[in-house]
Amino acid sequence: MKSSKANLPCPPLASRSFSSPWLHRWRPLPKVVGLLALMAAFAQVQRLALLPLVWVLVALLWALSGLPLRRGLRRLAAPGVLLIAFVLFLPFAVGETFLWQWGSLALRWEGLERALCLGGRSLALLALAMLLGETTPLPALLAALGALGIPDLLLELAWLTQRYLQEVATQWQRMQRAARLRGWRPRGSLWRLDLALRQDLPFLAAAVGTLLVRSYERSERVYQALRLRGYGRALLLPEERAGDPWSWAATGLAVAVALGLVWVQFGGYPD
Amino acid sequence: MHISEGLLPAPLWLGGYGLTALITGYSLGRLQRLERDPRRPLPKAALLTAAFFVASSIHLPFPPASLHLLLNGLMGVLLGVLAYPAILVGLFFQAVAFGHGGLTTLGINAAILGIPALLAGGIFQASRRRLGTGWAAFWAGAAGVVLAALLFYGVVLAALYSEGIPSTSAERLALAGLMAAHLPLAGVEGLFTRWVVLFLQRVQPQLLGEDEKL
Repeated sequence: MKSSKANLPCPPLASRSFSSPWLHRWRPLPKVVGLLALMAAFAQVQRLALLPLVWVLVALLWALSGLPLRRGLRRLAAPGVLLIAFVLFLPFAVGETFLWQWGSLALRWEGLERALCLGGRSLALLALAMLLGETTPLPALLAALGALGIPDLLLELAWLTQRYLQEVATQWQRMQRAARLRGWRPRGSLWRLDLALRQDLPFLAAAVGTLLVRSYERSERVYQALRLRGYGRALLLPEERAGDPWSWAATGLAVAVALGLVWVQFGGYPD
Repeated sequence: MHISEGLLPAPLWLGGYGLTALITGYSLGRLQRLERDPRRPLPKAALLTAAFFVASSIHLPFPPASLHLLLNGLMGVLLGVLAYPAILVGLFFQAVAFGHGGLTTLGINAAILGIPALLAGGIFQASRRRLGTGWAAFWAGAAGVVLAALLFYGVVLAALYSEGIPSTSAERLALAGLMAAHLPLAGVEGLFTRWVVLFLQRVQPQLLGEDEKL
């Protein structure tokens, strides 16, 4: 498959003129290596004293991305339920140093420290994943992952899934709208399970079944069309080019910072 | 049922990646052995993955609450061994595009949903002749939820342990309670899977056929 030089049409890469923010110009392969190294290091952070450094790095990268701050804050404001449960639970469950006590409920310093550390590093990791996704076009990101050894079949599955996601979502919305126009309303509730089980669930199951049938029928036509356009003989994803020296220098810096963080974390530097 | 970024100690999330690499390698290897052109089923798997991605965002109305379906059992039934890579791809998009789950926890999240999906596919194939298509689909759908919940709470317990919280009887009881709360959901998911599969059997039986399955 990689022998052919012809590429199938795919969404164009984002513009990388010199006026683009720097993180967009960081070549995908070195960027993936650099950001993954930082993510692996951030995931190890357990010392509260390291958290400000982690967030300075995230803020620096965010500034270099040129992305609006509001978008990041909106996404970071909705972390997982599990993370919220951990952060709320830890200060009352772990530690011996009581900061405040009311009956059997006690706020403990050690638990609070862990909760802050856990919440801080989780949000920092989320921000890095967002930076990677927002500043790298998907075909380039997949090509970079391919250069790192991810199998072609998996990358092609990802590319095709992304290609049809919007279309399937639109089709689903259209089906839902049509059902509402025909008078369908959910009638079941926790108190009226019989209606839910007799009407709502079978209707939704039939709707999902219809969506799957339409997707399946379409997939047959898609495969034929892709074959005609050279699928299997030509590259579906762009070939990852070698990065420019500045990109690799930035990656070297990111890896050095990541190694430094891990060294400090694991006792190379006293508290 | 996502493990968020930063919750797990390194051995656990690295182990999740190792497990996912092994199972994905096995799935793709099997695909290459079974198909003359291994790319042939990819558009079908991609479109079905997109459909599952959209369908799993459905919140079944149970006012004042709502239920969120996993559909991993149904994926195992329809996609066979491709269910694991398809779930991996779906979770990758959720992590990068919406911040659900995460990139460091992608491997472990794929294992939590993907291993039950593969087992659900196996349950469906093994029991289809004996129980009939509908009930085989019911058990596959229900098993997908129960197994995913078991794996999820196992990982959560390991994360709690790594944070220094001893696994006391109170915590174990709370987790057992959460597990028990998933049983009705498993029943609903089983019924939903049964209805979808019976619908597909009437309208597009190729989607369930032996020859189309990987």
